[in-house]
Amino acid sequence: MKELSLHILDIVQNSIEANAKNIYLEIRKDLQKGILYIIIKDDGKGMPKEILEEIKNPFFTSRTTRKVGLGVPLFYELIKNCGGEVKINSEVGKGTEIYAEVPFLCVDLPPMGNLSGTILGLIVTNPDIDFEIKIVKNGDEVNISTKEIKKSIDIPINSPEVISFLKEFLNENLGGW
Amino acid sequence: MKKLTLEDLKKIKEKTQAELEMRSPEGKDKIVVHMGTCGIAAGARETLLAILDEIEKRGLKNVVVTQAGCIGLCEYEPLISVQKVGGPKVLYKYVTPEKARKIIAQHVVNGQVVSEDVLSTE
Repeated sequence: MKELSLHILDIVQNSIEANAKNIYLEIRKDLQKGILYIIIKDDGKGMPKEILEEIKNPFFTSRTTRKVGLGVPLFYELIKNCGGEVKINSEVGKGTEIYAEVPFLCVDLPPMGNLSGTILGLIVTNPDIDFEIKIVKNGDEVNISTKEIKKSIDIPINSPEVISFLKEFLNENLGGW
Repeated sequence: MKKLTLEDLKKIKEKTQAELEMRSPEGKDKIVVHMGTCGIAAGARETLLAILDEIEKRGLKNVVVTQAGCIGLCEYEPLISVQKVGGPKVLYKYVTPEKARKIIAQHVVNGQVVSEDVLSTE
């Protein structure tokens, strides 16, 4: 994948597949330390220990439609090859947390790419999931709570008007990524 | 700190309140974009964004877009399925953003299936 935001989109798909109702996504760039942090937490069905042990294995999947599971292994290899670290904690019935930190000046790390498109796509196509999104770069912080948005509007979050608003808001605030 | 404010949200509410009564009470047309690793790597996000762009520009209020995982047909990605109210579910293959815009115009808006891009129909 050519963009880090595509990997993030792919990893969040696992939370959606796990029937999460709440997903927390944090992307934090610490310019002083030169580290990019990516944290994804969900309240989905979680994984037992035996699946967790296999999650970095590309030839393992819990799905039945195909025999490979590439999302986490691709992300893990990418971060590891840049000298970063990925930690995955999961508990059955409680959810899963993925924590990654990586030096962002690594030449093998793809650019963040269209992060606003990734976030827009996630929010609009999953209207039943509450997303808490926190993007921090050099002290600047952007917070998005879809629960808060849904409470404040009388129309679905996937309506054309809301799509239009979110697109503008995300492009304006995350354009620099 | 930039934060989505209540003021921003009130603006959406005001803008859309008048249109609420115009909504069709019947079901909605459904578009599903397959977003497994294979789909994403093949360009499904750009396809999805093109679909959302068309929905926004055309003000398509009776269309709902959702996403699904891999269905094991990775070689045909990006895949989308379109089901108009009362119609069959049509699975489209190799859906680039350009094809997605055509599918919206021809199938979703005008009810004519884009037969050359169909993989299967249920």
